Amino acid sequence: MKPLDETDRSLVAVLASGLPLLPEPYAEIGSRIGITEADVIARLRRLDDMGVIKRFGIVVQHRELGFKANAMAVWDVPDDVVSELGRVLAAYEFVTLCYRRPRRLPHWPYNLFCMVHGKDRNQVRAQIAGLNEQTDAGSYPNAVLFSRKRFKQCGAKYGATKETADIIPLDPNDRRIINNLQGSFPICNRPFASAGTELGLSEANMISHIRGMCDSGVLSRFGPLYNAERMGGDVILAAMAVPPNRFDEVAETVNAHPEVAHNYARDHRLNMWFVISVERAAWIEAVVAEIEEETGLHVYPMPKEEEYFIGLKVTV
Amino acid sequence: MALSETERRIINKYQRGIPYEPRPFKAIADALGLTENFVLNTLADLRERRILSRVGPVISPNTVGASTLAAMSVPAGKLDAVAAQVSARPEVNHNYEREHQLNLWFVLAAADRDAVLAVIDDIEKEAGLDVVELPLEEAYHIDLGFRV
Repeated sequence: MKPLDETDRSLVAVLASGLPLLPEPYAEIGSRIGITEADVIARLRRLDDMGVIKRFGIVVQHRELGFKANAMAVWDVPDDVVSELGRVLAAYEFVTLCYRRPRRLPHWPYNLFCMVHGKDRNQVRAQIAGLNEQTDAGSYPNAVLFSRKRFKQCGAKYGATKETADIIPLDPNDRRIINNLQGSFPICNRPFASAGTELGLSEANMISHIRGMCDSGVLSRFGPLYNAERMGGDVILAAMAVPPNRFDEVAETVNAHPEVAHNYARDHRLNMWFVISVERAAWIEAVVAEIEEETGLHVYPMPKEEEYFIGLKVTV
Repeated sequence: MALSETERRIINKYQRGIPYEPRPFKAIADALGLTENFVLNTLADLRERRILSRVGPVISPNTVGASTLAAMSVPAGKLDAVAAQVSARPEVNHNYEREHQLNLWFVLAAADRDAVLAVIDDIEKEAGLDVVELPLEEAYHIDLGFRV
């Protein structure tokens, strides 16, 4: 069978967060990775035929559906009978996954794993007791590991290439929200409702999209960017010529100052460029002097003389 | 959380077999006697209520890239901090506290086996704790979804 190519991998990566909920989702997915709708469909059929896609459909969050309890039930089954027992247990409807994995002695003596979901712990316990009574499972050492706290649950992101793995898919509403809200956000008691009106989205829908983008890291933060000068403070760009063998050490010294907001290496004799922002304009000089003293290098402050453009926005 | 009868029908019928055709939601709507718009709105609403995680593929383990199950024994006072470090890695897709000496269990996926092991190595260094790694050796279950 033909192995997966890079495009297949990009397709799987871009589908990690699911199809966009649009009339023509495969066309949209194709446009994100530069292939046609027909190619997307053909590739998905092939991946499905190959068994790479186990199923293609709705993936639910068990907890939100009332399946609040989930346990991992594990057994230590002799190697010559584990496969047979695994297939028996997998046939139970409430067993959602069933795998053989290695033992790791002395920390972990079990080799057969089942995930069992239920409405509450008693139901899950009863289901597992049923497995132990109705099959041979009960005759082997076993344990039940209930989950207590869920820290994370999302689709697997199999890194295709570094580039595609890092791209987080946006749906059209995500894009509209980003494009619309970078410039201004209403200041009123229901800002999400008010901003949503303009975009034709409900308040709950706005919040859910923005929360989703914060969770996935598309939005590094959601809030104001301050104009330091108008608050009595100051922001300046500064540069240093750092000997290459001291670059990391100096960068660490510079970054240790809480007033330093950005710090980048650039290709120039002045090879380290950073931004100093302070609450009182007069403090700039003190920060510059401290950095010079700590590093023994000259700092070139480059204050703004005139501002031509402010309000960095990206259109996505 | 309560589901309407229509929501239940959609979920039970389409945890697998979303059609690979240009207008899949129209095909679903036709099969259930609904409109395409209604199906799309229902799915969007389920997603807002966080009942629906996504509509898309569930990939067989170790076909595209590699994945594994891993566990750590984390001192109780450090659990939230270590869990946050683990969850922050994009390779980690499930991360749960479980009641056992090994109390933090997570699943991670990456491009290949070496990449998986490199992430585990990083997690061990960052947390200063050993990770017990339990790769899949045999799968018995055919994932048909989840009846609601």
